[in-house]
Amino acid sequence: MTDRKYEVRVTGPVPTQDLLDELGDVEVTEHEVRTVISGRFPDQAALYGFLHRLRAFGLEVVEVRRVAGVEEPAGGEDER
Amino acid sequence: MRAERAHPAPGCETSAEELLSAARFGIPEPTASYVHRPRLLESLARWGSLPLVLVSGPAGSGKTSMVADWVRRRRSRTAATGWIAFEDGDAFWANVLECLRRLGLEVPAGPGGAAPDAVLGREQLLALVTLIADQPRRWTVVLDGYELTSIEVAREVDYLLRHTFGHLCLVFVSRVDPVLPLYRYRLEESLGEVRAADLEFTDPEAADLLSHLGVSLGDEAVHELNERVRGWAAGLRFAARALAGRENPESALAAVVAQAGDINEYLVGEVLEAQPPEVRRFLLDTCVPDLLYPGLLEKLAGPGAVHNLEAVARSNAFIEPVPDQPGCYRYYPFFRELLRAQLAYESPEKMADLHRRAAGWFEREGLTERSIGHLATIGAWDAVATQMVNGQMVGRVVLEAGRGPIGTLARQMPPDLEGAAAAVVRAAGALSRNDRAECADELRAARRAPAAHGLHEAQRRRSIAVLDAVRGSLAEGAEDATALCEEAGRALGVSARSRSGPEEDLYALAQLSEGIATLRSGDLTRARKALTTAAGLEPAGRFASFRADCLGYLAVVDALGGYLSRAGRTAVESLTAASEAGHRSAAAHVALAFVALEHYELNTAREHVSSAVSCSSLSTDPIASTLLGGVAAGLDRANGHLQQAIDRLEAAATAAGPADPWLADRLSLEVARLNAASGKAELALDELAAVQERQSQSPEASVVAAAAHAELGRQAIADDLLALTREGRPALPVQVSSLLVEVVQEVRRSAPVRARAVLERSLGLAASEGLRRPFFEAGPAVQRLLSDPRLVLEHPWLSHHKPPPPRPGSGYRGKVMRAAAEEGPDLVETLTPKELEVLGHLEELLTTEEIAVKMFVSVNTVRTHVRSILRKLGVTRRNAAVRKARELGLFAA
Repeated sequence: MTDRKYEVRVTGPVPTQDLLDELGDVEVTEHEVRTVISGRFPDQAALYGFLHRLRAFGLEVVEVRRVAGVEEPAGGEDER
Repeated sequence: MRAERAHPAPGCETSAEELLSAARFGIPEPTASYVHRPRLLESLARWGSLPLVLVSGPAGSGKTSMVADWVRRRRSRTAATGWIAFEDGDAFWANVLECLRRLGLEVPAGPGGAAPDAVLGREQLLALVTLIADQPRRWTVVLDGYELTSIEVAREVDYLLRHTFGHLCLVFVSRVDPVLPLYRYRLEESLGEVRAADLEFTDPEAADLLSHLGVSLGDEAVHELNERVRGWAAGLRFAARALAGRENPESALAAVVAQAGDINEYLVGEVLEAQPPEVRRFLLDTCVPDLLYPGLLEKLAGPGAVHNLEAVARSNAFIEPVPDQPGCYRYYPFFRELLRAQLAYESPEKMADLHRRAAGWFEREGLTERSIGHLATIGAWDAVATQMVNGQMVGRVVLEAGRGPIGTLARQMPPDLEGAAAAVVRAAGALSRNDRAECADELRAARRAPAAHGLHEAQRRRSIAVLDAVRGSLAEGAEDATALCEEAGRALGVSARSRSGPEEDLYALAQLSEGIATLRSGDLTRARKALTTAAGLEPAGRFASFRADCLGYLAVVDALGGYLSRAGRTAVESLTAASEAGHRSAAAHVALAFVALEHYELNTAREHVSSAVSCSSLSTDPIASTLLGGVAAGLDRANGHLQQAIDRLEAAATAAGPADPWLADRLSLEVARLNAASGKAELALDELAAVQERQSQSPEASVVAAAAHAELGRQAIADDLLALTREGRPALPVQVSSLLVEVVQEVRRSAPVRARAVLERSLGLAASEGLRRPFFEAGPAVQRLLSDPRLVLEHPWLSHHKPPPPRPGSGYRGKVMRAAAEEGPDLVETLTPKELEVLGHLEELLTTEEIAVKMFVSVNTVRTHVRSILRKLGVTRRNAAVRKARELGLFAA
């Protein structure tokens, strides 16, 4: 299984450390008005599940992109 | 869970619903072309003891078939395995509980919410955990097609899995990962995963599938094709359809593989185009409903459609018979979606017509819910509204309280839709949001609107009458409310009580309304009858918020009638139901506060008063808000703030007055009682005169009048009045108060032995319900008798801050008991009523002399009381005693 790396941008800061722990194995970088969360996901189901979690925690997702360096160009959100 | 499923009605409905339920909980049968995939089955088998298994992958990747195969193969072993095929909008917990029930686990009744993400609630969750963890067996539930996106439900699932210690395994089969903390399960190695990459067909598996579908290709060709469709099972099936029957499939394949762009899209087109026109038409005609029933099929595709269907099912890999249901078929979900998309693209008019025909069939079969679902899909809102009224579904809208499928449809209806039916549906929607003003507007519009084509006038009248009764039961004055309920009763007719389904919903709502209205006019017997009926009907089992309301008001009726323990039990049941429904019931809290005050458990009473105050429904509930005023005043009085209590009662009575004369009179009576008890007998009699005009025969009023006359030295009048209070069977508090007045009379007549005998009789009566308040609030004459150590010994329940004598098997648990028990332990010794009274005066910063005057005792007696208060509270100074008493909750609000 080759994991693919994605970057998810959400509005504002990620509120607390507790929430970070809840999100699992991801990297969080805070910028001024956006927070970038990057993580590796094996497939679309895992990525969508992760996005559902962000929404459930009240984080507004503004952008999702596949990070280059993997075999195909971005734009893999074809499912559903 | 859908209504009809839980409650099958006679006739065709039953069989259709049995079909639905078999389709939902049956394990899918393998199709002829199913490919055995040992590598995946072995993985699943290896994870046999894990609590959580995910099978995540895109549509058409063969998830369901593979898991179903695994379940069928392990079925004979020790573990029980259930299956749930979810459809969009299905509730999670309701289905999981039903599935466990079918596996033989005695699961308590399901949650009230039919919304997909309705939570189970803490108490039920704990009950479920215990139930599963205690079983020697292991339970596996496959959740096919449920997308877990609610973090609240996910937390409950997480809790359940972590506390059942491997006795429960959930297998999520879906396109999206559930929002569970999966990384934690991964770290703990308690998660098994089959993901998209695992589900991709290997070349040998692809070859197997193709040959099952009658296409045989060389290894090289299979590899080439499988590469192009990326191991997607559905893609392989489409390719097989495109290639089947070709003389030279390999060369045909070359053309397929050479396609640029999305090969899968191309294959879908190929498959549809390649069908003979009549088969193609048949496929598009029949893709609209989720399940194809025998009768429905002909309705959509004309007579003889069954033969077509059987032919298609034999030759086509995209349709399958429903397990255990001969004659019933369904398309593979992804294929059905494709057909629907194609239909919508080719001919939106035809699609609308097919939905309409399906709706018509479901309506005739009595499956209104499915029918209006089809109508809503094509935006035929006029028809949706008409059918909701004709099918008596408006009751369901109210009962669902904004958390169910019918209410959701009602909300989606365009707000400017005209006509009587739309107005009725909007009125029901307004009620489900507790917006009574808007409900009244819509009902007015619904009455005014002209008769409409297809709308049954009788059903329009019924729906309007019942909705208006529900609205008016709390929003109108007590008298008008009763009239509206009688109107609803007439509209429903005498036969209503023997009906079932949607009609029972309306009947149940009418009964609740009647209970509320008659309670407000003081007819407790009728109120209890109506509320008991409502709470025993089927909708009360299904809709927790409705059950909570019925039980909440029933508790109020019992509390007012002096049945304190029953009121407490019923109120706790009501709160449990309310928490299940995520709903707050002011009535139940008020009943509990009332009961606690009568028990003289002031701390508990205060807690329930603040809980009731925080309920949003309080402001629109005249019963709860008026009685709450009474309880709060009772707490003032217990706290020694007599004037404050009287002011509060008078303000509450004035507020309730015009709409609720009976409730207001209860408060005025209490004012009279307080005045009589504090030596203002004349004032009390004035107050009573006003009340008695309306309630000439009320025993409650007679007791207060007797006390006042006795106070004024009119012994004969008092005795006559007391005799009046013994007629019939007055409520327990009235009997006890009446006896206490008699005690005072006997003391005045210098007959101490008789006084004591009467007092003992009153104690004996009060003991059964733990009714303490009359004794704590009795005047000095009674208090003196009560201080007799022998009486204290015989009636320990009176002086201890504990509930009355244990009632074995009464099931009286929950909030009341817990709160009451918490009050005791900190005190080494309980304060006597006298000491509490002194303590109250200390809090008012009165001096020893002032207290002595107030209590008609000597200064030395007060000093003795103060000393023992200090000793019992373990403090050395008076203000420390007051502070400690506050901490212990000995003072009321």
